[in-house]
Amino acid sequence: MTVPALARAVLARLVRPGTLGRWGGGLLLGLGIWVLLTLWWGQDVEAVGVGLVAAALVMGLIGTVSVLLASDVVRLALAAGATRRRVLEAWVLLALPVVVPVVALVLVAVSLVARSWGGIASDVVPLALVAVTSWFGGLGIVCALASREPRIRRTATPGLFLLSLASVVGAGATAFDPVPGWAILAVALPLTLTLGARLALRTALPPDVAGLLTGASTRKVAR
Amino acid sequence: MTTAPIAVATHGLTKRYGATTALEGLDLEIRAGAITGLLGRNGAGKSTLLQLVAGFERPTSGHVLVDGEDPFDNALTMAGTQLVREGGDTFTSEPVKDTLEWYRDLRENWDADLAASLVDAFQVDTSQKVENLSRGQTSMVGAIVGLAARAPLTIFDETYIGMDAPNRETFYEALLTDYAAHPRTIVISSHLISEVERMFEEVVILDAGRVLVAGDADDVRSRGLTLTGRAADVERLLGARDVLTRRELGPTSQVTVLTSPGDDLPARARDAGLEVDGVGLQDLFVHLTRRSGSTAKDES
Repeated sequence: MTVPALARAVLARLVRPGTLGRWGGGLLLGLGIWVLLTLWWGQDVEAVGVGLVAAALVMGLIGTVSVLLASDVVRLALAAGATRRRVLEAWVLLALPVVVPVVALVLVAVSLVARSWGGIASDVVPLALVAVTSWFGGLGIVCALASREPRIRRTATPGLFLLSLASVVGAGATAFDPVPGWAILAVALPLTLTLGARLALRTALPPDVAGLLTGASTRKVAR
Repeated sequence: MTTAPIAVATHGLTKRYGATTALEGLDLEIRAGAITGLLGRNGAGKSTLLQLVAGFERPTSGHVLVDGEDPFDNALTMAGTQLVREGGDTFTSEPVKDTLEWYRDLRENWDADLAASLVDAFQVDTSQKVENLSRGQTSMVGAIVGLAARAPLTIFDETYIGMDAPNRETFYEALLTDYAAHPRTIVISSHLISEVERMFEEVVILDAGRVLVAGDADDVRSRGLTLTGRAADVERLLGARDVLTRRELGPTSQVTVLTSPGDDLPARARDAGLEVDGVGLQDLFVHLTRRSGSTAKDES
């Protein structure tokens, strides 16, 4: 089974009215909240921070939906003979065209708004953090869900979700009040990145490489 | 992807979940191109073994080799293995046809005509959501996937659960017909031994994570023997053989014994005027696993 074949099969499942409706609904809801909050706060610098939080909500919604979809897809892909690595590659292949443009769009939009209100270019940094956190958090969550070990599915998935959420909230909060915002980020972001990367590596790498991280190399021994 | 039947071997295979040991030092060979029955009581380790073979899990220690390779996350062996788990792996909140299309898109050897004919034979409504199907109908979807995927290593783990008798027959017939036309390695994990044993060419009996008996199905069947006659004659012939059950009826004794391949006990028993009967696979399974269970209890 090739990665493009798997990506095509997944795409065929995603490009359907029901699925697109869920994605579109989540996106519109997040954007709506953002617009409303921005209008409510008026042309105030803090609105940028609110915008960041709203952007994080949008990303969270998209991430949650895609994770839910991916978890079902992962289970069925394994049953259909795909390896975790192929599933991950297909997921990346599909996620890149979706996640990167959305993050870029949010980044540009908020930067433009911020600039028009006095040029707060530094707020690009929290946004970039939101993007990185969403990416690693989402990746880690998908990997945790793909794990055959119930312990990982039960603990790592909600744990990573909360860490990701804390990271994006922290990133958003830096625009309101830098001290607590960066404090939250300092704790949540490294944990999110570490856990997300570890789960991704453990899931995606072949056993002989993953064995370096998780114990004995079964393939090496078997051969 | 290879289409040749795939052999499976395990060496000292152990799988633990926390304090629970599901498999303990399992040494086993599953012959390529044969239908193997994997029998065992609840919790014997059948599903764990099959998940390890399918590459879904990693052993705690020891090795499992599929076509000579470690199957865990192995693109080659996983592409050649179709494990149909109890309840099937389906998109539960979507119509049956979505699941069939999914496997059609991902399984290289998928036979759409066979899938369609099985859908007709089982009378499955493919427009129905899987979650709205009965348990038996969900099992039928799993059976269709397992057969139509035509993987060189096809594994059915209690696939027939919930199916009614006519549908089980349909499944067995379809399996044998397709196996004859497209030989491959098939493993059937089952509780309904008397119903499926006619299909087995090889048999493996697991108990408490260990192999009790494994080998050619006819050889395994012939290893169980019931001797009935005068107690003294029966006892004289038994020697050090493994007695599974013993029943005393006054001066008459009835003993079920496990023999080794090539044992001359049947001939000697007949010469001694004893009644000699074979033991069906199901009876042998019951005797072996019941005895094993009571031994374990005694040891604890």
